[in-house]
Amino acid sequence: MNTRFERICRPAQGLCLLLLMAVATPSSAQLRILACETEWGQLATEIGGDLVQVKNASAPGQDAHHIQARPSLLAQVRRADMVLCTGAELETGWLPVLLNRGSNPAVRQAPGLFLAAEQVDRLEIPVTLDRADGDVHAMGNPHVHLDPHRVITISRQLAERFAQLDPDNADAYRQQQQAWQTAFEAQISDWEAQAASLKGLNVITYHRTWSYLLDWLGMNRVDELEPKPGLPPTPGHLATLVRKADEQQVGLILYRPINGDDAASWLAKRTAACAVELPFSPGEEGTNTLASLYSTVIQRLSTAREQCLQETT
Amino acid sequence: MKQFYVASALLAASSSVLAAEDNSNNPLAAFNPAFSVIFDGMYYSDNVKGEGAALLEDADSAFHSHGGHEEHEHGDLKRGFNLNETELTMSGSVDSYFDAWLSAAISSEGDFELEEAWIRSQSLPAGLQVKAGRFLSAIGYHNEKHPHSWNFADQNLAYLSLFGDHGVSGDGIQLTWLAPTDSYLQLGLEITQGDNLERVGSIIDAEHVAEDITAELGPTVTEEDLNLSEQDGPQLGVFTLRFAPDLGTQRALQLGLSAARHQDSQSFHEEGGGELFVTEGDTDVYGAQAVYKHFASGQYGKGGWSIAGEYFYADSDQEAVFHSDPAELGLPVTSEQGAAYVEANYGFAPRWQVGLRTAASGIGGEFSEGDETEEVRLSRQHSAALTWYATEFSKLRLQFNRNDVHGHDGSEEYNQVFLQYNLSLGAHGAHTF
Repeated sequence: MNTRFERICRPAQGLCLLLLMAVATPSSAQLRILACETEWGQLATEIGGDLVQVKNASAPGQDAHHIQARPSLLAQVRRADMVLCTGAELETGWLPVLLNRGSNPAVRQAPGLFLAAEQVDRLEIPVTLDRADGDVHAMGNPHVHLDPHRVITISRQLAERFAQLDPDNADAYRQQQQAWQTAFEAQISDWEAQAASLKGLNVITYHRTWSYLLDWLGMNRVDELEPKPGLPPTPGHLATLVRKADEQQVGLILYRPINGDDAASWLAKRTAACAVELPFSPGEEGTNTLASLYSTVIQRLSTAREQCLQETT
Repeated sequence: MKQFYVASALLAASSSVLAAEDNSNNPLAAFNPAFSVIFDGMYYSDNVKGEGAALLEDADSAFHSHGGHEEHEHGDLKRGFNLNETELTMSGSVDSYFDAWLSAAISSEGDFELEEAWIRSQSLPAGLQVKAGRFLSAIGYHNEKHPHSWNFADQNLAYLSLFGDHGVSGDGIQLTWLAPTDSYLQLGLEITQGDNLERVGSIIDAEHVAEDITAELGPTVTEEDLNLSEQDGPQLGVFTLRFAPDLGTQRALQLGLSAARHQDSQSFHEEGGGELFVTEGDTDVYGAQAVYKHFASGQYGKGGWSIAGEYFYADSDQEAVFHSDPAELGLPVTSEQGAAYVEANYGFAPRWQVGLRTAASGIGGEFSEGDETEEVRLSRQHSAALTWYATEFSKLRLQFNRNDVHGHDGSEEYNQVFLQYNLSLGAHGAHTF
């Protein structure tokens, strides 16, 4: 290999040196990470920088409950140094297949397996478990990434985990995390200030996707468009929501692009509430980073709230 | 009945294990162990006096043999209400070295059958995994699917004609290697006893066949007179190759090839004119598969579609080791035929899926005894299914089959209708691709 390169390289040495570096430096030293969802893939990139190579199992905005354990993901698991997922049962429909058939013992448990939601306390841990209540996760609501405070906790754990897997660069991971956290924390207070007007607002959400966002911003969820988690809205359930929305003065109806706007618009037309479509994961339109995800979400919420108030008055 | 209590005890035990687990950060806590019961039943009808299922099983084939090891019961499906097999499964990690899977079926009569019981290594390096025990062969894409994850209520005619209703499974060992590449490339090798195949690679119950021959011919024919070699050790070897390029998050394609050899297949033939003979030899099976899936962009499966197709070709070279006419001993008997199916499924609305399937058996089939060659006639099956997924745990399905079957007694064109429910109680295992 070397001799061949030398032979070809001799005429234009400088250029070839660059080329060789480009070919040789990446991959070998980098931590290979398979992220189940883009929020964690993005966090890994923001913390790990050039030291990590991230591949996402799902596209931004895809429903993470229902990803198929496609063969190319098994190939990714096979070579991964870390599998980085939400956990808390969000991926029960496909992650076990990846871990069991990926032929890679290193990522079947910690440290090679990192489950973000299980690094923090979770909301909505059910008291009783019955499938008749719909798709309820025994370990609580897994959609933790919409609370930036929890994300900071997770980012610290993640940097430690990177350090454990790649001790040579341990300091670099910690430094990068510190720098990231400092910048991120500064923005959190901005976002909280922008969202101050939303505090105490009653909303209806499509799924329990937004619990952590609402908890963070002090908004109240009155009900969901889904009659039960994982079941599509029914006319009967929507009819009860019309009454409920008026009684409890619901201001906004929150949904994601994959939910479709049918049910939300239907309810918005019949109540004083306004429907607002929100991005859920980084990579959806206008949201390249975690920070831009929060600012976009808050901006859309505030704008929708203002417009809604103007329309109704 | 006794087995049922064992199963209930298992269920009770596993739920108490689950209840005892706290929400600690043990990553696989929620996945381990998983226990589920699958309920399956249907209302069935056809316009051939309830013989629809039996006619399909008797479709013309180069691989018909009498006196099979497990004489198959015909016409399992009756007009009206049918309780299909109730399946119990239990799976999970044994420790950090192994995971294990158990599945057993209880028939409507209460018979208990161990379908799968395997352990699989989880700590071998270099992308290697070993599975041991009783397992479904990876010989085909559809073969590894459990009936509750089928897109149709019944087995397709292609599989039915070559592998039987339950497909290929066996007791043995499977070694797989997953290549360290961006594309998925998996090689597999299976060695199994090969003593329970229903069609291709089937063996006969020598004692039973000897009795039949005695009854037919008069003079006593013993098991030894059949000159069959000892069925000793593993008889079936299967080699598989699967490849899947990385097409991103919205779609996936998987291509596969397989080749199998059964070293000691046996058949018993009864020809017109009172000719009776037993043959023995080896059987080769070659398979090719392609599966394309476009994942749903909407919720509850809306907008997702898939196409899967498989082709198999089987070829058996046997010799008469016993013949009612001693002059014909050593007569070469060969059977060969292909089978194929293609199915397409589309999630046209949230929770609703429509599926179309076409299957054929006896493709290019020939059965030869010495110089005489008989062509196998082609049989076809066309199906349409409409499935409503109430949740991922329960579904209802309406299916229509139009069959054009060539059997022993001429050809028959007829319809079948299935109204099926399929529910899973308990842990719902993650689905493979």
